[in-house]
Amino acid sequence: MAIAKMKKIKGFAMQADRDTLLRELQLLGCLEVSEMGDAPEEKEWLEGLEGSETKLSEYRDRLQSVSSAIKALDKYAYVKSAMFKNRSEIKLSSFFDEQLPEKAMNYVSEIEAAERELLRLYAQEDKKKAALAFLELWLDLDVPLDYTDTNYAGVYFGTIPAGSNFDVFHEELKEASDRVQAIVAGSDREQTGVLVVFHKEHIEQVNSVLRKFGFNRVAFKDYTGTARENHDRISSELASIREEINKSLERLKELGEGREAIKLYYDRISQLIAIEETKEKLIETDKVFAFKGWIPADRVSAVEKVLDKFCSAYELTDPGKDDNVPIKLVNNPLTAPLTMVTEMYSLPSYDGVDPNPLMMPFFTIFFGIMFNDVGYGLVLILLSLIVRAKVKLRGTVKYMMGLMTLCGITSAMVGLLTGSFFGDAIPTIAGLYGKQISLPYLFSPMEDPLLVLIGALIIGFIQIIVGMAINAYMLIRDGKFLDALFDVGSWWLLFAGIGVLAMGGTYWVALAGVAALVLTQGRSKPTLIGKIIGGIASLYDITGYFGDILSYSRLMALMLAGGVIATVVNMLGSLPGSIIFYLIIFLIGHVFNMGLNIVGTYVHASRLQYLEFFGKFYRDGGKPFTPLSLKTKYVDIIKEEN
Amino acid sequence: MVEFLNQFGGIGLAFLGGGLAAALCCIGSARGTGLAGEAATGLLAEDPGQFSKCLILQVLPGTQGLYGIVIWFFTLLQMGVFGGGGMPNLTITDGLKFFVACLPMMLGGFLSAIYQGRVAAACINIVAKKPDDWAKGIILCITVEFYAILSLLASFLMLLNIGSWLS
Repeated sequence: MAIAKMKKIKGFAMQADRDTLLRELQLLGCLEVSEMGDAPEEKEWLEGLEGSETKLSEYRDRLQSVSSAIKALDKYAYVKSAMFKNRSEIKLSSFFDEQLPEKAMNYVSEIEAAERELLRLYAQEDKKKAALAFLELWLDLDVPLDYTDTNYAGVYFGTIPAGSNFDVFHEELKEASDRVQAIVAGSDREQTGVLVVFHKEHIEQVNSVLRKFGFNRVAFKDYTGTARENHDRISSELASIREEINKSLERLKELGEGREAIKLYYDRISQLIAIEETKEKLIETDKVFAFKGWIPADRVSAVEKVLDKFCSAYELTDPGKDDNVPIKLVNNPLTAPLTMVTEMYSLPSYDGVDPNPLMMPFFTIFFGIMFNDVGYGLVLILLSLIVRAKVKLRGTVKYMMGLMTLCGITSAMVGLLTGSFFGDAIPTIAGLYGKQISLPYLFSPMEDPLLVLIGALIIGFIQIIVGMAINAYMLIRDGKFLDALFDVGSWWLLFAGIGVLAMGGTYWVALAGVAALVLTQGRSKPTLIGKIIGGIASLYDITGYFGDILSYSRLMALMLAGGVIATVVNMLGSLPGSIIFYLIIFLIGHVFNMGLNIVGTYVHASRLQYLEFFGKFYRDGGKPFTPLSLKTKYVDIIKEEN
Repeated sequence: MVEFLNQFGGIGLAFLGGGLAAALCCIGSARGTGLAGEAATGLLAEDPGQFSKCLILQVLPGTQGLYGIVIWFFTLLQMGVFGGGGMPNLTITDGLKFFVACLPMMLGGFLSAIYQGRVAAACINIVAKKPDDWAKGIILCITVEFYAILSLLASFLMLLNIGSWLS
């Protein structure tokens, strides 16, 4: 329910114990090691010391090849997995199984080899295909392609563009020389393949005609025999290459059996990399290394227990003023899902407050107001509960599902108030059977929109007041009582004054509020004139508050828009008067409406927190607490009791 | 001519208002989602894994079309088209009232959808370079969206009270 208190740790331990110590700390998972070298005494230590040698780049390379092997398997040995599948669980001892690296790397290198072979075969296949296409034009020519010049006769294989008429071409050749012969080998859409045989005495005349017709010589290097023979030979070669490709693909499919081992190894290397990355943050001599970092205050004893097993010296201190303390939010199941909303904005700084419990009621109620529908709410609840029952979730998805349940509940509750179940589905279906049923409701955005609008603005006003109260609390907590009184109290006085005025009361309260603002808001300015101008200028902020409150009108507008679309869907469906047609339209229309509305509603509900609520009190800029721990992608590790 | 206008001009204007609100908003949304979609293809060619993020950014400028339909529906409702009482009878002045009531949605929805689409298209860059921070792009888009919501509110509130203003 708050930002976890952190302790700063600084210490030394023996270089010989380094790897085991880091491993144990990783298993414990509650120490964040930070980079040494920014404090003055650390700079002094760093003098003349070389950074510790690590195997980081070696491990990273290996991770790279393991992950490309996994990709290759996904491509060539694809196994369809269930949509919601739990990760496989594995015991800690088998996670660090000694035989695993060799076994996995064997698979990896075999997969790499098989993939390389496959790519080579594909390249060959392409080459052969191109050769076949090249020969296509000459298939009907029964002259061997290696037919060359004799002492007296010149032989040209070549093409003329499809636009040229062969008969005219042949005619002109005949005119140029009386000892020339041309044969058509074949033609396609672009060109005609021609064989020209001539007496070398007339080579000049023949060449000039050839040039005129755009004759393009073709060289058949490395071919013997006729085009047909070559074509048959290459075709059979292609067939055998394809066979080999199939074999390679089969081989890769077989290698799919190594998938589990490789994935396990992937996670294993990731842990090693985490340790190596930590090592880079240490300062080391031959015998000793120095480290510093952060521990959540409630886990200090656990870390001490590990450190005390080794020869080490350390001190624990509270964070100082300038420390950039990492942020860990501690929440109960009800407020934890809001972490998703907080993280999307920015974590609070260490001297701020955890916004999750503060915005939990607002966020879920806003979502409920905008989504207001019993049916839609139930769908959200059911979906999230099914996913949660089927899979062990973690991270953002877990928060998302939790948020879905909470928001589903509020949506259904607001839907009860407005009497909407998939829009007006129940009255519409009843209408199809000639009956009249209407759900009871307290209010409806269609019938009393002004009431709903005013309600939305009032809810918004409440949130803004709460935000200011939190700001006041933080200021008082930090001992800045006067700031709280001036910055928050003055505004509340003014708000109260406007309220009194609106009820027809005296204007003195509002005037007092204005006076308080003018007198206090310029107090940080150095000069008297500056103070006065700053105070008067602060009155302009009233438009800011006005805009903030008006911004909550979106609650009413989205409530209305979603409801109207749902009604339109029901109406469209009921037009032909058949229940089957209605159900089809119902399904498509409401899925569409829900999908669009979930995104829109979530974002609008978040925006109201970020701009209107957080703007009043939030101190952001915290960096997340990232302890040295086991972070896995493919397997879950079960820790055994030892 | 004058007689024809007197008889059908009002209802024509009212339909024109509602129809344009729907049509212009839909055009704007189509343009906006189109811009974002085009931008997304560039990224998806490189990294198909970002599809869901791109899709969400793309549909954001799509809401204006829905708001347009809401106003269209409401116009028809207030005109009494769904009442089953046959063609409603509206004077030209009444028709103009409907038309003007639809105006904020027409213009606000049409233009805001396009501008929102441009922001969404630019936000594809965020998805490409900092996929973890893409949600901030959504906030940028939603800032534009608010003005479509205000347009919707303006049109809606005018339509809502139109009954008491009709002659």
